[in-house]
Amino acid sequence: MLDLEQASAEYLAGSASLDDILEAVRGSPRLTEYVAEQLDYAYLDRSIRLIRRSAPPEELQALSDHLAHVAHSTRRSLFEGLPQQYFERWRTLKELLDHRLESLATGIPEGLLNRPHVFPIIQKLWRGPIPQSALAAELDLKKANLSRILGVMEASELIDKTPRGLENIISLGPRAPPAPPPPEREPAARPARKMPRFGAVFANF
Amino acid sequence: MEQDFIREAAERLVQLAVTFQNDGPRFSQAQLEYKQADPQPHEAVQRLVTALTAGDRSLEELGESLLAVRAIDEALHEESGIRAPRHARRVMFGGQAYYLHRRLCPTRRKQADRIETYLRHHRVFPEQICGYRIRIARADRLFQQQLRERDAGALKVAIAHFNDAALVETESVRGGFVAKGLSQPAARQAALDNLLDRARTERVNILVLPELTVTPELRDGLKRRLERHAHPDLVAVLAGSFHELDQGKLWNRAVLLNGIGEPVHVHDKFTRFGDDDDPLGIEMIATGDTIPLLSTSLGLVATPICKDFMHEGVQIAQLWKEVGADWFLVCSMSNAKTMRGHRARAGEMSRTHGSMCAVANQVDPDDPMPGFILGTDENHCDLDYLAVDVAWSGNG
Repeated sequence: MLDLEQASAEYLAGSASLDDILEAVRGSPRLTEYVAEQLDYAYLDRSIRLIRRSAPPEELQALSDHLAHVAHSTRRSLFEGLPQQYFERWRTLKELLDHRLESLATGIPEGLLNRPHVFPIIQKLWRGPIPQSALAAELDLKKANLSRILGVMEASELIDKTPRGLENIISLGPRAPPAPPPPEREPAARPARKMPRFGAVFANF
Repeated sequence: MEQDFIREAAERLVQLAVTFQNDGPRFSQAQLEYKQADPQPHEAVQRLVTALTAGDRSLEELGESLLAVRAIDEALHEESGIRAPRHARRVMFGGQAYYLHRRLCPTRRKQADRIETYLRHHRVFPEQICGYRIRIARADRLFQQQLRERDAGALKVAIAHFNDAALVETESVRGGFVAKGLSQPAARQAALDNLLDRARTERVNILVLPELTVTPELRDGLKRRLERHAHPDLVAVLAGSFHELDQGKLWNRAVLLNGIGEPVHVHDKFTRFGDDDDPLGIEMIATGDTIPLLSTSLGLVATPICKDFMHEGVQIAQLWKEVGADWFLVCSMSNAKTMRGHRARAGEMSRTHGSMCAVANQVDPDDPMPGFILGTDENHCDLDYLAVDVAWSGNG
């Protein structure tokens, strides 16, 4: 069984399996300050990495379920006497992951994709990020109108806005429909090869 | 600009919904107009949403029609984005406060005479009904996720009563009584363990236990057991109820646990048991003024305790009529007469709101009538336990 007193924060954050950590926590009569600190680092690190790389729901769910067990209300006594409110912190972290999962489970409103300019913007972004002013010029839209459309698209994670100087760079968001695969090219007709003329061989045995 | 639109649309939606809910003839006329306005209402709604969100038409220009309700409901849903918090928005109208609550998934109602048919993404509630304050909480994700995975159209709901030797021990206090504990907690523990094993074997999703059967200590044991041995099918356990002290007051409290034994919803009984003919007298518990409801992927869940559900007083009837929860998980300790009240209320809720009611009753040995599950069909719990597949349509 995993020895939490010996495990480093980096190991808990990266290599250790969540099941092993849970088993070790279940086997502990109480959490020491050192173990709680290491776990706290590991949970924060794992959560940040999952959210930054828009991890698939299964991974977010695994960490959320793990935290639900570790910071279960029946396990509160494990946390007594610790200098930090780790119990509450980990439950809040779980809430954050749950909120993210709930967003991911919420479908993009059908009507939003059918609104004027929304799909053309996505199509343009399939080619790569564009400055907002360039997008306005390409679509021939007023600044305020484009800003409003982008605001609604950002709220549904269809696009991301990254400020750069006085400008916003617009890129595809995690919930944008993926670009269709490029059409398969017809294989180029091979130049006719001169085939050596094999004459039929009739063997008379 | 977007925030202004969201705020104004929310206010307008509440105004229209309340107007139609409170004015039957007008609502009836509006249903006709909705049907006659456009042969393809869905396309008409989309056109209005586009006009609204592009700023080509104002909210007032849409007038007071059900088409306007649908368009504003849809536009508000689209504009709010998928990360919008699901907390209720408080809106004042006609001197009263209302909550506009975003649904977890759109309702699939199609009946013309239901406001939900037009209000697909939101619910509108008065903040107070008959003096009771309505509080809607979100189910935690684990609860929702497990329910989403069961989207085959049926959930298995089980009710039970205990036929063991454990009886409620009461203490008389100033003309009333309080429940102090059980005569044989070990027997109840064993019965509870058997019940949980059975529910798991039969792949039950929601288990409802009766009133005054599970003490706080037994509930803690149940929580630990569920945490250690969670079963993917068992989504929720309404762990009966019992009298318990909290913040210096005694409550009759029912706690809904999720699949890993974490409390997701707490209901404190707000209608005391008390009968002049009953030697026990009145149930000496504190009663609150808050009605907690749980918003889940299944719809709105209420967990009233016995008289909270079946009491024939005007306030309770009006309360449930207006709330119209999708699911009623009820713990009860009743005789045959009271159970008839439960059946009447469940029938009424089923007819008017399509609610699913599961009433787990700890039967009175002198006048026994077991609990029942009223979904699409009425099922009576003839034995100690009954599990029924209940169709549901995800009206979150």
